[in-house]
This record gives sequence, structure tokens and C-alpha cells, in this order.
Amino acid sequence: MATQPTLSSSIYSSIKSKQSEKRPIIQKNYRIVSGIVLTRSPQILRDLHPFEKEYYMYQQKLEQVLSPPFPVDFYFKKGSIAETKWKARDEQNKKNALAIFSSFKDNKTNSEDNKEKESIFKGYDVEEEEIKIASRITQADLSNDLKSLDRALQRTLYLIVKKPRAEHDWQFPQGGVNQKETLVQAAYRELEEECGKKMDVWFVGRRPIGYYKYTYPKGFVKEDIETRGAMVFFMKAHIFAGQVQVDNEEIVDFAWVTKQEMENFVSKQYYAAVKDMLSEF
Amino acid sequence: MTFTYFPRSSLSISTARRLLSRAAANKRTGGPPPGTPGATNYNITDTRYEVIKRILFETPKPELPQFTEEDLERHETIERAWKLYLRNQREAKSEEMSAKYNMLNEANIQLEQISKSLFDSAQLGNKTMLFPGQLKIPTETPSLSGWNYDYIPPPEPDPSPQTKEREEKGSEEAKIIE
Repeated sequence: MATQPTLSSSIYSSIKSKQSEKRPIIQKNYRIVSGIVLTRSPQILRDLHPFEKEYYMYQQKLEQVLSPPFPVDFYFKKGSIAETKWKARDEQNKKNALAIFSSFKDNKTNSEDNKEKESIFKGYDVEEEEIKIASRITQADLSNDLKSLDRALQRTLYLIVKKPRAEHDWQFPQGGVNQKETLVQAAYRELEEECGKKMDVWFVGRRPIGYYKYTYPKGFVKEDIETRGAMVFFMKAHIFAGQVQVDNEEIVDFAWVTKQEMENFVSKQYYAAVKDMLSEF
Repeated sequence: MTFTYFPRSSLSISTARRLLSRAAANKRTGGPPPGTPGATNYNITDTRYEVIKRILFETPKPELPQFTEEDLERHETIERAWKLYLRNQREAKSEEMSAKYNMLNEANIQLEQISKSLFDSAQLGNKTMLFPGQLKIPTETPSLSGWNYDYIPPPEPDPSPQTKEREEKGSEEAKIIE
């Protein structure tokens, strides 16, 4: 029976590993592990720096002063309401703009000019449709909910998971690479095992973005006595929808944090090794 | 066809009219004669032409207020501060990018030394790599519905007949062994 090849099959056939034997790869007594740097990209544009705001206003005023005069009688019918509105606004803009020249400085400030503008237009009842706009600061921001993906919409958020142990508990999700498996395939599999399948994830290519080598601490339960530690290769991925599901076996807790906040969760050596992969903003 | 550029407000209306009429006279007469179907009726005495001509040729040059010494100094300082601000932004971004690149490079170098098969699979492979449609550009304000927490992954596609056969063979072998 011929099956229609769907788009998902062509994208995921290279990612999903075949059902092969699960033998871990060990090289020179270190287990090869692939970690996942799952990022939630910024959803909104950044707030303007106060200097940027001031500079852009200054440039607007300069443009207002230097631009050629607008042919009002060509665009507006003489005596119409639109013409009066335009003339009033134009006059106000020109007044504001001339403030950059010291010879024209009035005592009036910009706030007063805005009040004047409002009083001019009160007389005209223009019915406008109310456009609903969502706020840039969400409920999650105010309550500081670290599990929410609606928090810190301007920033890049990274997923860190908590393992059921005392030291080095918070880290990026990671898992061993098996034989006949590529790094990306191992990363995808491990992410599904640890964080559930209810996330729309896309891995950026096949190359690792970072490398971290560590030795197992004393008292760590090892499968093979000879393995001294692990070499983690981090793979970058993006999340577009969904949320992490804690299985309470491998991971007990999770958080979506910015680069700066991660310092409070992860151990010092881990952060020092990992911070260069992450975006400042 | 001669075309002379008339800069705004540098000509008086009489000279403008003269130049325009000359241009009109030199224009190659094409198109159907008046009265026949297809001949569009251009009425030169239309007031809209007058208005357009007035706008193009008679708008007076605005009297630009002059910058005093103090104003000029202020302007220069603002421009210098802006350039400095941009430079700092650029340098910070460049540092971030180089740090990321160094990590990437080192990781790949280590991978090559550690495992040839993993390294090859990481560098070579899928040449038809596509970018997903869900990669969103940041907007001024977020969407009204917020983040979609109720994502349901699409159902797994049916395995191709080849893999189905392989699975059946495997199960048959297992039965024989038993």
C-alpha cells in the first residue's frame, strides 16, 4: 500500500533515530552526551533606550524644519474639516520643531502642547474602531512565573531542568548518544524522553554549538565502572509552541530563564562553560 | 525627446510656461487624431493642470532658521553621542558573536578528534535543509492569544512499505527462533 509522503516525514526522517539497540558510545572513558539548548526567541521588539527616543524625536524635528512646504490646497478641499485638522496639527508640529533653535525657544513645554492638541479635536466626533492590543508586559512578568513562556517577551529564554539530586541539579536537558545515532537524533530523542512530546521543536542544523567535558563526582552511580565522566555536545533548538511535561523520573522541575537569571540556578563551573553560547539579550 | 529638469521654485511662471509649451510642441505627435474613437480629450485649460504647475514651479523656498554657534555645538554633540552609542552597541554585539563562534568552532574541533562518524554526520548530510514557517519575527506587541500551550504534535506518518516488510520479516524470524 503506497503511502503519501507528508512534509513531516521528510523533515523528521533525518532527525528521528531508528529503533536500534541502545548501547551508549564511550570514547576514552568518557560518555558522549548530547545536550539541548532549547531557546524561546524574543516575541516582541526591545524597548527603546531613553537616548534613542530623544534622538529620534530630535531627528523628526529637524526633518520638520528642513522639509519643503506641503501643498495643502492640492490635497485638501478648501474649508473642509480635514483641512482645519491638518492645519492645526501642522502648526503644532512646526512649533515643536522650532524648539531646537535657541532663537525660537518658547516657555511652553511639549506636555502643554499635547493638551492643546486634545482640546482642538474634542469638537470633532470621529467614530473609530477600537483595535485591541495586547500589553507588552504580561501577567507572567508581574507574577514572575518562571515556567511561563509568556514572560520576558523581549528577551531570549532558555530551558533548564532540575535533576533529582543535591549538587549540580539544574542544567540543560541532556542524554547519552547511542551507537548508530547522530548527535541531532540523540538530542531529539533525549528531549522527548525528558521533557515530553508536547512541544513544537526545531533543531538548527546538525552541528554542535558548544562542548563541555566533566568528570562524574564521587558516589555517582555509573553503568560502567571505567567511565570517568562525560563529554557534552550542545545542540541548538527553537521552541515554537507547547510546554515541558515533567516526568518526575529523570527531571523533577524546569524553568525558562534568561542568560542572566541562569547564573542563579546552575553551578559556577557549568555557567562559566556554557554562558558564551547564549545571547545577551 | 528632450527633457529638461525644472528645479522647484527656481523659475517664474512665465518662463515655466514657455519651457513647457516648447516641450509640448517638440513632442512627437502619435496617437489617433481628435474625433476618432481612442483619442483622449486633453483640455489644457483644466484648472487641475494650473494647480499642479503652481505646486511644481511656484512653491516658495522656505526661510530656514539659522543655527547659532550654541545650536551648532549642541547639534554636533548630539550627533557625536549618537555615533558613540551606536559604536558601543556594535562592539558589544560583535563580542557576543565572536564568543558564540569560538564555542561552536571548539566544539566541532573536539568532535572531529573524538569520533569520526559523529563528526561526519554533523558536517555533511541533508542538503535540502529548510527553515520552518513558525520562525516568527518579533513584533511591536505580542499576539492577543499569547503562547500556544496546547500544542498537539501531528500524527506519525505511516511507515513506508519497505520498513513494514522489514518489520514483518523480523517478527517471523523471532517466531521461528521460538
